[in-house]
Amino acid sequence: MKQEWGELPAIWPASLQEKIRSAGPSPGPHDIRSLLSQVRRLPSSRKGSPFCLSIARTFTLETQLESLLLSLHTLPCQPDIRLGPLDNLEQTLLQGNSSLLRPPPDAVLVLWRLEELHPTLAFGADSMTVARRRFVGKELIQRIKSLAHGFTRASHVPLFLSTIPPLVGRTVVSSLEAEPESVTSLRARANEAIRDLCRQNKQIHLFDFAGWVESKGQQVLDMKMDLYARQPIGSRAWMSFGDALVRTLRPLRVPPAKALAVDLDNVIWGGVLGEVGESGIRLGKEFPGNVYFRIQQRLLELRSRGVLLAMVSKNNEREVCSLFRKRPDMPLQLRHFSSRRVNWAEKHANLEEISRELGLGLDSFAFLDDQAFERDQMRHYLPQVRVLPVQEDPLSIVEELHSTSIFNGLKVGKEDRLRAREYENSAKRKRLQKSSRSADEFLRSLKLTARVRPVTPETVGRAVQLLSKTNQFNISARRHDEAAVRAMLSRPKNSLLTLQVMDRFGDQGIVGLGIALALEKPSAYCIDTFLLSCRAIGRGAEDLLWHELMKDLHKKNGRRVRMEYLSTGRNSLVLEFLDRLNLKTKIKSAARRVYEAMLPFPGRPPAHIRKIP
Amino acid sequence: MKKSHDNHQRLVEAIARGLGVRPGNLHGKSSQENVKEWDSLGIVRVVAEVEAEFRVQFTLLEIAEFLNIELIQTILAEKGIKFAKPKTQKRRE
Repeated sequence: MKQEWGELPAIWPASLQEKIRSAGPSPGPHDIRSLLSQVRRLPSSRKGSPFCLSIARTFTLETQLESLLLSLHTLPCQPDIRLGPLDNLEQTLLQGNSSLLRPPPDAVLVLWRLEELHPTLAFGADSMTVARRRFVGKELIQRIKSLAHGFTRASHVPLFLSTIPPLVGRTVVSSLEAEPESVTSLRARANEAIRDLCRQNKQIHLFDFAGWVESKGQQVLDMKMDLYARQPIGSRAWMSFGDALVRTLRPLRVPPAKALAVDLDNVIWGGVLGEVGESGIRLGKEFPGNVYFRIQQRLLELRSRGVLLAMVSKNNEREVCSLFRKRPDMPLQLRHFSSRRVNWAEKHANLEEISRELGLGLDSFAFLDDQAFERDQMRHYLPQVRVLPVQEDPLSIVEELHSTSIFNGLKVGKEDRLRAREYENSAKRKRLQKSSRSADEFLRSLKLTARVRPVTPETVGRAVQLLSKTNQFNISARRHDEAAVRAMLSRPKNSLLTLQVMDRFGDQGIVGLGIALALEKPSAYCIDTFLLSCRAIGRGAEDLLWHELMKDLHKKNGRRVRMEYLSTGRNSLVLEFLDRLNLKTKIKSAARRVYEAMLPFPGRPPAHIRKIP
Repeated sequence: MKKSHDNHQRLVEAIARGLGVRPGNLHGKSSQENVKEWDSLGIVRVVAEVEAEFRVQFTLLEIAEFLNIELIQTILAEKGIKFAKPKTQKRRE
């Protein structure tokens, strides 16, 4: 089994990280317990905040509870796991007073198998008619849908539905599988229905239990212990299972990385360009060049999901550019890199420059390099950067790029897919700005248009995404989850507005959010959230959003607005904007400022932005 | 090479870990009858611990005989694990 433990918390001592990694991919129960006790002994400051996971399940998990707790600790968090009773899924998930749901956990996970969900189908399908199999298949999907919909009516907690894994120990008999409505095809259909639920409902997310079994092989399931104690997951696979679960849950706690800085030599091609020359590098359809070809393909896939690529290499830039020009057959081309630093400077210094150029915080970056020295140096100088744990063996790079979860959000949205193109447009804007004679001329030439709209059920997901990801232009960095935003929306006096920005280079999508909450005191509001994605800063869009928010509050009979700025150490950028607004400052300290304003708010929105409905 | 008398201690410790009890609280006659933690879930943990400790795999029928320490030792002895005083308690047919 491949080495797991993809990402261990940077706040953990290096010695503990080393101990965990050296425990190998499948530590036994004794090792798991020993590691768990060491993690538990860490001071609270190194453990993260509490995280409660409720699990509704149809099979035994008690025996692997310690491995699940150890995995959850790596989020990092102080985990608490609540297990529901075996089988009673409806009772557990649909009754508001269920012990699994009161008090509300941070997430609910449903783990189920065909063996318990529909035993007749699991063990008696061969003796059923095709029509009967079709009927019970529909029955199964109906049960899954009812459970999911019922849960979302009863609770706002994020729900993670597992896909249904293959039957334990079941050998596929081709002739039976070829029959219509085979168990495998019915299971696949049920899993597709689960995926549909996740696509359609922003509260529901996928835990690909079946995908985990398929990628690791049937040996992760243990028929012996399944028969003995209805515990299907083999003890040697407990950590692997926990790791797969943590990779799924991580986006709830840690914002995904937005950019990947990649080395070139022995990463995207084999060999050192400066030594072997253009004709000597290994890259192509045959081994060993195919390994690097695969790495490039994977990087391109990540880019199409919205991960920005940046080039950081100790090389001669002219040679590198020449190679790219002469190899149009390479999946990656120069245009795919949003930024590049090819020189002999230290990589951490180059990455800091790229971070400034792209307007992304250092903690939004991941770093890929085959050299241990470069990785260690990056960890030392820029601990915020997430260094991918690879080795010199290019196979480890391919595997890591396929298995890493650090770029995963809970969902991949339209804005994610647009991101790479958007940052390219951003570079074009910067070039235009340089060539413009004045700031006004630049802003006018952008031909900015903007749309400010109330948050709707369709845009609530994007609002939550902005809340979780925006760090720099964010007055309070309050990370509300979807349930909290929906609760705010349910009060008509509150005002929740999104801002969408477009210019001559393209549509940036929804890039801003303002949340004003009505206070108990009549006509009084507090600005809970005011944020703008870093890629939209500096063109006056924030002023437009502010004025629209104030206008909306005035329409709602608001007279007085209070706003709190909470320093996170990374959001000082917003202070310049707040100063510009000329608000009355009530409290001013380094960590916190409180402002007040009366409505109607004076001034006008910027004239260079055309507002569209 | 582990000494055979160490193996008995290793077994007791693995069982204790599986049951979540102190090794000193277990003896040759410890069983489901006199250790309350020795329930069905406890046995699952004991199986995982003993399999990991001795790098062996038990069959389902063998697990069904995880009724006391002596029987587990007998099963391990049949798998070639040496114990100082081989236990000869007869296994059920």
